[in-house]
Amino acid sequence: MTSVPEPGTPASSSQPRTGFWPNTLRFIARLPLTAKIGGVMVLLMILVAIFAPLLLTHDPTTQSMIRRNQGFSARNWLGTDGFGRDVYSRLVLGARYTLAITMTSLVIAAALGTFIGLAAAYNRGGKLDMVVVWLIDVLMTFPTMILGVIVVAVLGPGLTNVGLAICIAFLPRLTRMARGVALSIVANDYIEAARALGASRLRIILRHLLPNIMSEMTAITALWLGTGVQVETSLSFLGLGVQPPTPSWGLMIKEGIATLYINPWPSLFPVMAILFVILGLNLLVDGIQDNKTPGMRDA
Amino acid sequence: MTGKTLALPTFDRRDLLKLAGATGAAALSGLLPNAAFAQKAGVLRVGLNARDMGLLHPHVATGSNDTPVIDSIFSGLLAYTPPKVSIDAIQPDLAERWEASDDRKTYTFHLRKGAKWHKGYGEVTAEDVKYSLEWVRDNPQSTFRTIYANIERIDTPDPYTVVISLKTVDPVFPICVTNWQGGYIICKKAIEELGDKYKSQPIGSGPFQFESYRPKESVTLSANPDYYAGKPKLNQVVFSYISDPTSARFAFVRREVDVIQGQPSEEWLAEVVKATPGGAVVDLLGPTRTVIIHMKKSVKPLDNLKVRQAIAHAINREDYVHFFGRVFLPTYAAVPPEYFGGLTKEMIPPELVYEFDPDKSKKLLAEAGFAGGFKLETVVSERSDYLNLAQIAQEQLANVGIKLQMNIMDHGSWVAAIIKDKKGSLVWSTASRYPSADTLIREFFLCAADVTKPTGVQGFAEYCNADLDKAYQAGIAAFEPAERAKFFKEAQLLQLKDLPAIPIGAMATAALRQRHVDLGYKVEEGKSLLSLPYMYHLTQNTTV
Repeated sequence: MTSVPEPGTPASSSQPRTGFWPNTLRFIARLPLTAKIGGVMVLLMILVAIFAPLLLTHDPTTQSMIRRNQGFSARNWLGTDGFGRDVYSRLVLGARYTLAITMTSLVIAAALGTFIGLAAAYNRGGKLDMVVVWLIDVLMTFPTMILGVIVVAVLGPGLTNVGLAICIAFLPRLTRMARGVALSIVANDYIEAARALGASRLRIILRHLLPNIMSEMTAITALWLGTGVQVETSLSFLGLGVQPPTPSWGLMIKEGIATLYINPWPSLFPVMAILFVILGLNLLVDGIQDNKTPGMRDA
Repeated sequence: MTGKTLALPTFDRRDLLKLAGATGAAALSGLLPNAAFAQKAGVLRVGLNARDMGLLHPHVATGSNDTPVIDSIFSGLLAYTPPKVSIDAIQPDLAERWEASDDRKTYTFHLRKGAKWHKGYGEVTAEDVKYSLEWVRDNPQSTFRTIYANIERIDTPDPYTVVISLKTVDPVFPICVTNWQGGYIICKKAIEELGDKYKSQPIGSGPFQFESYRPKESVTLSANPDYYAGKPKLNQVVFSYISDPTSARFAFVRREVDVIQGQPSEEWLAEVVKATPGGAVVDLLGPTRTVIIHMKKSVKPLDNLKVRQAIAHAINREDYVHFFGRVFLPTYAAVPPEYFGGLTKEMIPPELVYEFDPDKSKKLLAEAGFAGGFKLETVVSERSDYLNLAQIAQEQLANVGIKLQMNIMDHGSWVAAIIKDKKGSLVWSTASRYPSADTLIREFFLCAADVTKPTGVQGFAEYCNADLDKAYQAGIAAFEPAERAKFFKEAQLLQLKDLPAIPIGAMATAALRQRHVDLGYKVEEGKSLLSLPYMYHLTQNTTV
């Protein structure tokens, strides 16, 4: 699209500027306050995760047996845990592991899910569609957490396997969403028109269907991120995720329980961090959805 | 129509609050096993750190969930005088006196008249003793067959006399008929009548008799009214299974149990004592568990002596002392000094004392061709005592360039992995045994103990040295204690020279009791309290 005014029509000063940045800024400005707060919270955590190595004050795995369970101090901002490791540094690096694993796996799951969903929707009623729907139905009978545990139980614990588990756990949900949204678009006249013009199947899916479901899928993926964080931390808490000494929020909570009555902070800080991220994500996504579909507000 | 109206229950706010309160209380109490938690006179309530009972046959059971219960039900011919466990603290029990032949190959025991089996199974006779010792020696279900294989013949010239003839000389044989494991006497008539049920409804001759069992909840014992030394002062002992340390702490602090097994951490123990109204008594029970890191020979590069020495020099025992507190005592030999034949640091030649020395460790690694370090993978139990030991070592090894990847699994799977599947390059063992060097050497370092062999026990390092076997055999046959100790020392020094495993310390088993619990025997302040069942030994004089 172009923002150059049509010749002959006087350029109106009140006409809003269009383009990616102005559009985005206007979109943000229109968001409710809660969504803005949520957005700032999420952005903050993402920045922490990206710049984690610069923010560390200590090596997060270095133990110090003479500085165990220390309180807050200038040296250890959030104190130390039962092994004398710096809780602040572990928390910061833990953000990186937790967010990176969750986001990467969800984005992959969303990409795969979108593609499979689109293909199924375009072939509605066909063999491919039937197989996809059947598979989704089977997988959807398992709650995400159980599906995650099953995958890790089969593959064994570890960083990549947890990512894979999250990916597999969310794939059926995202595929179903993509298929559902695409189904409502496939019925549109312009798809019929494109087909009549002889556009190839791939072209229709990529050029006409995909752009139209992108915004929906982005919002839904963001919404599932909170649940993804929950699954990742729960798996780590059960000892199925990242293995010690690598810090991860779930693992930090688990390890902190041993000293809960002596020094609750090594467990409490990761709990607060998880709460912060999930709250931020929910505020943001709720606000975006309210804004896009005003009728849904307070529904 | 007869106008019957449905009486719908109505609630006001107060009712709802009450309901909520009641539900909350019910939910809270549901978190804990709730058998007999209310304080009753003459009832001792013990919390065991286990999920459930295993089985209560004394010649089969080994777990710390069962041994405390078995210890209260059964008696041996002889008994250790609490709070001691050693050959010179043995007193008469079912046998009132005994004699040994000069060659220490024949032992004669004279039974006490009037000692009764529980629940009307009659008097304890020589026939029972013969049956019991033959059961532990021959029955395929017996866990302790090898220890009793030396018994050649058991004669019973009269109902109160037992004559035991041995194949080879054993100057310390009385230990085998003292109240622990195969030494507990089982009831012939009851086994013949009950069959397999004997494992869950045992009949013994000790101060307490089996009353009831609630799966995953508790075992209740009641006083044996016919106990030969007089009816016990306690009416009942309730053993509850509370596997989660936080729940156990909670139950103890709220005084819902009188005795619990504690966590191996001085800080944890101190916190519980502080939180318990009126305080509590902490006892560090021995014999201590010896903590050893076994290095599997078949995993490269652990076949290289220099690499094993490098690992030994990377371990800093001080870190463990800081972490566990006085529960942990550093050691430099596989048998802790408090055991007969155990070695203190001073008794070991300096070249075999592997002190913390990271520079030496790195140098040894470089000499072995691993200047840049190497990677190692192993399996570790998720049980906190094992996991803590391993995690501290993981960091110490990382400091000299050895990257240890741990696959953490639940305790049961880990035991199966290291024993059945022979997995694990580094294996942490913590073992408490009758406090004599031969028990630990036999289990960990004899050629026959190698886990990969059919006779294997816990030789996780897959180690075999014929000279060590020879020293052990000479030791167990020696008459004089000094001579026995000399051979056991020789065996341990050979082990340190070959270094299949690194001894790092000895850990006590912590137990906590409320101040109103009187064990019935004197525990001297600062003196160690020895008790084989990983729990207090209860007697007829124990009170609450």
